[in-house]
Amino acid sequence: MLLSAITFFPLLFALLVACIPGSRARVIRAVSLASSLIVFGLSLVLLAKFDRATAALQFVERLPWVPELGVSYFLGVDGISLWLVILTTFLTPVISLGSWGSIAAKVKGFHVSLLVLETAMLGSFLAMDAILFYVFFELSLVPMYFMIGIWGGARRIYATVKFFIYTMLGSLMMLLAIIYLMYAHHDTVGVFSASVLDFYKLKIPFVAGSFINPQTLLFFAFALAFAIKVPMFPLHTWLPDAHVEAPTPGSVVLAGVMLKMGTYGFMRFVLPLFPEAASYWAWLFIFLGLIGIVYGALVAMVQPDIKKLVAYSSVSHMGYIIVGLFAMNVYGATGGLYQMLNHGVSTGALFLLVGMIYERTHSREIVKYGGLAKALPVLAILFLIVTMSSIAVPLTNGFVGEFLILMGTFQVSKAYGVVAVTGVILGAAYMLWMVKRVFFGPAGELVENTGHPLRDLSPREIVVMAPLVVLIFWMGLFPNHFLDYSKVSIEHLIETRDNYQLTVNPSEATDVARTTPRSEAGK
Amino acid sequence: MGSTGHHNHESSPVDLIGANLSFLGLAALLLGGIGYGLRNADATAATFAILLLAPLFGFLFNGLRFRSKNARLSGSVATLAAFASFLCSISLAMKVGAAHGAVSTKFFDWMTIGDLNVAAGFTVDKISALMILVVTGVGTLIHLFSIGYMSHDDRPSKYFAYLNLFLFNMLLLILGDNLLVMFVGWEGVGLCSYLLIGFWFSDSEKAAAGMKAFITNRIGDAGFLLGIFTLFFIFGTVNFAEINQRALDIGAESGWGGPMTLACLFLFIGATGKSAQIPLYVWLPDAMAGPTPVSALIHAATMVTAGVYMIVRLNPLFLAAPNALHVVAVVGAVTAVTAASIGLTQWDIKKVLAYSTVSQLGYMFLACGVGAFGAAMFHLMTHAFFKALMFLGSGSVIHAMNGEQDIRKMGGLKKALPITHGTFLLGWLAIIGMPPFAGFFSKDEILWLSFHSPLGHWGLWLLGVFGAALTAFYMTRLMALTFWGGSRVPNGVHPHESPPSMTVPLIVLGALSVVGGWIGVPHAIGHALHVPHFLEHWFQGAILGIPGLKPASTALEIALMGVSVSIAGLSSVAAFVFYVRRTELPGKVAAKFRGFYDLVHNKYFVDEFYFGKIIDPLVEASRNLWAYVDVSFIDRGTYAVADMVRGVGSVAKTVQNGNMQQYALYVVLGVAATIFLILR
Repeated sequence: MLLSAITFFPLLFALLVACIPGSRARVIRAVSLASSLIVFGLSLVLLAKFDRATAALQFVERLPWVPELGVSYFLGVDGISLWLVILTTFLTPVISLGSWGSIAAKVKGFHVSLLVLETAMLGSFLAMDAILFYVFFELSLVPMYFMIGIWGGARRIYATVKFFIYTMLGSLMMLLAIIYLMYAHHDTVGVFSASVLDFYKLKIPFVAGSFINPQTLLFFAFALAFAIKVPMFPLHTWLPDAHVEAPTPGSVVLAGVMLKMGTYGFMRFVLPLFPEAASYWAWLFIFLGLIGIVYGALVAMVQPDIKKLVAYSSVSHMGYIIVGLFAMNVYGATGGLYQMLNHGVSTGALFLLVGMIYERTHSREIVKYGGLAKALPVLAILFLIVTMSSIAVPLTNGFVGEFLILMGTFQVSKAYGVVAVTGVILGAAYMLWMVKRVFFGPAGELVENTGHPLRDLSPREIVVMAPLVVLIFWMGLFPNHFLDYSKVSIEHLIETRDNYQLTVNPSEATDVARTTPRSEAGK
Repeated sequence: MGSTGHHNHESSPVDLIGANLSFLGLAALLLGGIGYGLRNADATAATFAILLLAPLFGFLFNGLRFRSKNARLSGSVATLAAFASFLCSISLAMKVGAAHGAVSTKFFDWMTIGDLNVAAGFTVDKISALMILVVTGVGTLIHLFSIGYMSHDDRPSKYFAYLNLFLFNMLLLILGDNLLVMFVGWEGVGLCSYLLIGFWFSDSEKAAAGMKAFITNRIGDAGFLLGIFTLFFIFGTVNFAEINQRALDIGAESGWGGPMTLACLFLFIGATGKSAQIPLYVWLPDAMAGPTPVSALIHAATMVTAGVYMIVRLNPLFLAAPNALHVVAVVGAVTAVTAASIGLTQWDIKKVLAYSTVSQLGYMFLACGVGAFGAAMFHLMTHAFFKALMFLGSGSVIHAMNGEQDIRKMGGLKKALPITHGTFLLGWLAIIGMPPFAGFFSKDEILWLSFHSPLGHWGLWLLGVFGAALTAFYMTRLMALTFWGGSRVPNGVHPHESPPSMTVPLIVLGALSVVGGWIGVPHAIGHALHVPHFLEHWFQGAILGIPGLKPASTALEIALMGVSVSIAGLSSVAAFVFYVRRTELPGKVAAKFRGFYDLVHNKYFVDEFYFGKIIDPLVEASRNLWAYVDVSFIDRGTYAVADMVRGVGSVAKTVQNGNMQQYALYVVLGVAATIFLILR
């Protein structure tokens, strides 16, 4: 019941928050924060009880939903999804507390959206039934639309339309592919199933060098949905607009967790479900990932808006993850997974800090800044620390992920490695140039002529940032504390990728047998 | 908040928390280190722990009370931290001497993934023992010097925090027993260098210099990373001892395509960044924007030698890649001459010293390139003494001149600054290679071996001697324009000798610049005097001998020595005549060779080339990418799709009316409909 509790508590709390009168903003904020902290606590219980010696699925919950079609309510966690769940439950209270400064209007609606979104994101990471996954995956879009559309900036409608077109297109393809797989299971086994575990058992016909064969088409259908979510070059242009228009907490959720639903999808579905197609087309994804790294960095460098710069830096960072995953070796995959967490922490932190700057000066135009470090020393120090994490200076989290990804890439091909490593240089260039223009030099017009002195971070803001800074160093100094939980699962994925199978943890087998739907019992 | 100043900041809770945390941090760190040692009854581990953690503690102490203006307190804590590290270094060096080998410890496993197993492991051997002694010893002196130098600064606490953080990272770099821990320190010192160059960040130019240093170094670091990957995929390890052993087992590679040659070349890219060699040296002269003691510590004595140290650390590997060594030698020799020639025409006292540093580092790489790794380390050490001395001396001059750095506005400072002048004089004699000063022995060993080593070449020797002549000229010019001749000091500036906290380090370094070379007396001389080459004995077992080195003719060695010393001497005399006796001559010569002078004076327009031909076009191209690919091309494609959708039905029209609730509803309906579709 633990996974269901983690997944649906936020939804229950959202209902609770909805019952509080909208005028009681402080109560709403407090209840919402407490709720997300409770969920975080529950996820720590999960972490404590998690068995890191097995690659099998743990804490499995399975109930028949539509038995005729083999669709079930099926949750489970393994080393691949574990940290993404923790990342989600960890970032939500941070975002909740962070929103106290940036969300002044319609507080209730915002917190309800945030909690509903948390349920949707957690469900996406925990669902082991493809239809259930799809439902959560799509559900997560709704609160995000609200966040950008209601609390967003001036061009929010434009941004949401763009977001809408891209994401709907991708997920429709994926839905078709899921339905195809359900039929394929029916054709080979005789019963329907939407269980991802059953999908893994399918042998989907593959023809190298041609598009029109089931595995290649399915591969691209899934890959398209996730590539848009990531987003991969050239499907990335919705992201900078969405970020610029989104309110700070929206940007943090979007960058921190929602983009990872895409990379997670690659790891959970694309690589193990379509092994031949994934191997055959790996070059294309590495190629696009490399373009993303370099292109994202170059375009980030010339952005006049701080937030857009950070958004393009995400394109670059997510490019690393894609390259790491498609390197298909243990270094690339481990680095990719680690980088998902890093990106959640450090880009989340960057968006929060950019938000804090915006709240003080009401502008994000880099040219209007300068000399902010003198006016806001504490904010400047935090910004510098997060910058170091973002550009992967050793002893911060960013280094571990980037190093492993680069190493995995280099193992595939020296040429790929050389191209990828230019991102290390360009990353330093665009971030430090921005830091120089915003924080250093003589005081710019926004810093000079604000009419009232800029206030450095409040205790609340420091509390928001502190856990992120702690994690930056903790993850950089002791990566094994984190990776030990995922090691077995990643090695299992890489070593048996040609015939990947995921089992349910034997110790929970009796529990599962009781609830196994007919579709599986029948074979 | 430990501030004594009455500035307008109120004591915010953040500062109080910071102050308390810093004391807790101090206690925790020191107790942790000592406790670790005691628990394991392992004195070595405890020594390592204190050696590394003392500067880290100093960083936290000063960093968390960064608003304090109490230079004396901040500086004392920082200096004591550095001194504690120095004591630990002595203790470890003695252990190494007694054990005739390496002393190691491991704190924890850092990264364990697949075959990659990286420990936070540290080792001191004969090479690193010398290095930590130099770094913590010179480091302590420079910390001490800084107390006086930074006493009038706004944020001394922040300064000392960065200085200690630098020391911590430098020690990681030196002591790490594998490439990755070295890389942690490698990037860490780069970060501190960035922070300290841009310490006075309100000045845009200084902030830009810091950024330039970091990004240029990042180019090198990218090469370093590729080197790590290459080595890991050849040998399956990143541990120095294992890499060196495997390289010895395999033996020398011929040709250019071998994996070890490739790895060495990648690593050397890293070295050209960190140690300011062609083509990545451009950041170092700009780095002089930082406070002068920083230039002495980071940009002369310690950090910039990291590339040399890294190559020496991997000397068996580099010997297995002779072609890579040739590249190292040529780049080193060419850099030595090029940078020295630029030094001839600079007017900023620190810029002259900066180009001199680039040039001297070139000599160290030349030594590495001809297989004379011991000579490289030797010169690294003597250079640390005399160059730190001269940088601190220039700091003393700048301090006395109220911040003036242009040597055209100095002259005749000998009288006002007797101690500074006297010690600077010793540094001058050392760098131009006059016997028996420190620089003579180390530079002579490099020149001799670049001629005599089977990996060497007479051409390299010739470049080295030419560079030595240039060095003697520009250093004598600097002495003459700063200290000798008539005074050109502007009215209103009253130069005064610096306080003892600044002159004591000068005196100590001055003494070291004299005697520092005596531990490496060449056999040609030492044999007659019965003085052994102490350093050579010390390095036995840690540094491989030059393969195929034949016994040399003493007469030839002494003859070559005579040639280089007399050329340097003549060159000094010429400079003396130019800048003291007949001061009209330099202008005339410059006028006669106007074109060439401008070329050199403008540093061969290398910066202009990098900015004009690489960086600016790249930024311009990026703007175009954004404007044409993202905004015009991809987005236009998106709208085309959107229009198609709009054309499909009238429903889309309502979609476009911008009502958020409706969009959300569509999504929910869509999901529901699809689920319904599947379910029945």
